[in-house]
Amino acid sequence: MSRDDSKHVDANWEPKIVAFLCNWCSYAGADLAGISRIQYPPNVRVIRVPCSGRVNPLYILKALQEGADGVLVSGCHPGDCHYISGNYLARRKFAMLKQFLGYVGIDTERVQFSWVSAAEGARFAALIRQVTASVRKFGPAGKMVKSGGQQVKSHK
Amino acid sequence: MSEGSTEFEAGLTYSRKAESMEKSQEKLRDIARGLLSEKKVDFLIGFKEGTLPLRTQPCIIDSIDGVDKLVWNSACSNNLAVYLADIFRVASSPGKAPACELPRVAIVVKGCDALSVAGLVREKQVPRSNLVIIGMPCMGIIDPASGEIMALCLECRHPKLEGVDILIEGESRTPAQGEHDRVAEFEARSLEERWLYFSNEISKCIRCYACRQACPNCYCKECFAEKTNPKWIGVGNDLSDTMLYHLGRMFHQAGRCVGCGACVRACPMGVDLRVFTEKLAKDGKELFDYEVGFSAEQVPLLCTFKEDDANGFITDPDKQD
Repeated sequence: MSRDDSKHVDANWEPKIVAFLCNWCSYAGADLAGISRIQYPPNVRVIRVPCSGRVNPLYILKALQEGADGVLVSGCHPGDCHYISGNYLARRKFAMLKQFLGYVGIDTERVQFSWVSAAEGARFAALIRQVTASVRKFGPAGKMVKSGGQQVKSHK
Repeated sequence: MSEGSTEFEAGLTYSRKAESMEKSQEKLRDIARGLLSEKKVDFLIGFKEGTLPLRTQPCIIDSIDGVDKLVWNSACSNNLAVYLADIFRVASSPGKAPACELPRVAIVVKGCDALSVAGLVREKQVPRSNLVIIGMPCMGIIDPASGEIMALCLECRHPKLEGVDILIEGESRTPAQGEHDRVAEFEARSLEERWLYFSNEISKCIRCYACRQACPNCYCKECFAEKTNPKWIGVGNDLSDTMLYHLGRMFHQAGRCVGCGACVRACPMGVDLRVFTEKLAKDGKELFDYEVGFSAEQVPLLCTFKEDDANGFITDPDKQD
């Protein structure tokens, strides 16, 4: 099954994507896309952070738990971090996290990472189009979602 | 690894092992007597006989009278490094002089435990100069439930210790050459099979936090699992909360976990944590050529970077799929 669960998929379902954007590059790039009137899918909810290195892996896990269908973290290109090395540290962390989440069985392309600079408005829009399309293929999130009072499953 | 080799080790080498361990135990007691009588340490953390067969207990000895309690055998399973962070907690306030004089502590360690101690020194939780590390030769720990050497001991790559102050002679295991085979096997399964296994294992968890308490690296003054602001994890038995706890705790150990198995031994429900913690160790090695070592000068995996670190996982809209 390519869907996470057997929930009936609403024909009008649209993926909800949470995007953590670094203030100095990616958020500015998103802003530029807006100012330039470049159209991109409205599925993304932006959370501005000072640096991609500030993103705690728990934010990503929590977003998935609260029902985000996809999570994007975007920062400055390597070498261009406003705080010199925040994105380098983030890169290591997220390389490990992405592989780890895929390993435990969460669809790998639900959580994505990218570099977008402040001048790359069009590229930001292209990124959102790409991420939205790939998350849409997976269907609504179900695996990590908190359902409230779900019984602990019995085990073999 | 086959069952046959386990029986071979346990059976045919038993008498050789027992004799070697008796000698190591005597040497350990002699060293302890010396350290305590010459007041080189304030107390020593080691093992004494347990209340059940194939079990020992940690013990703290502060005078020569207690030295004869000390034992060394294949039931010395606990990772004693777990006590160190609390003992030296007053030392870890940056820039401040400790509130009271720090004790000098001797600690009995196996290979895995010595890696934990090195990690604590590296992360500035424990001052190296206050420690006397006594390295023991380890042939592997016996699982009391099965009577056989634990699987993780058969895969041990660090039975020979480095960076200790006193190295007790004796027979120790040959380092294993395996490259995280169990992880590779798990990786080869399908996404849904892996999710099913993960869900089943985590659904056994009763959130007793014994794994966290037993882990020497879990020394955070306030654990994320207990924070109420922000509240990362709910208090109910929702499976996704329990998953978040384990994913969060294991990822917090990325590059720090030494694979001692204290968490697995402590777990009352038999949750298979190792297949997941080993994945992080394997990725650290493959992506960043990093492996935990005995040196306190080693920089932790996620505290550093290289300009040419793995970039392939980054989504690039300019690249056509």
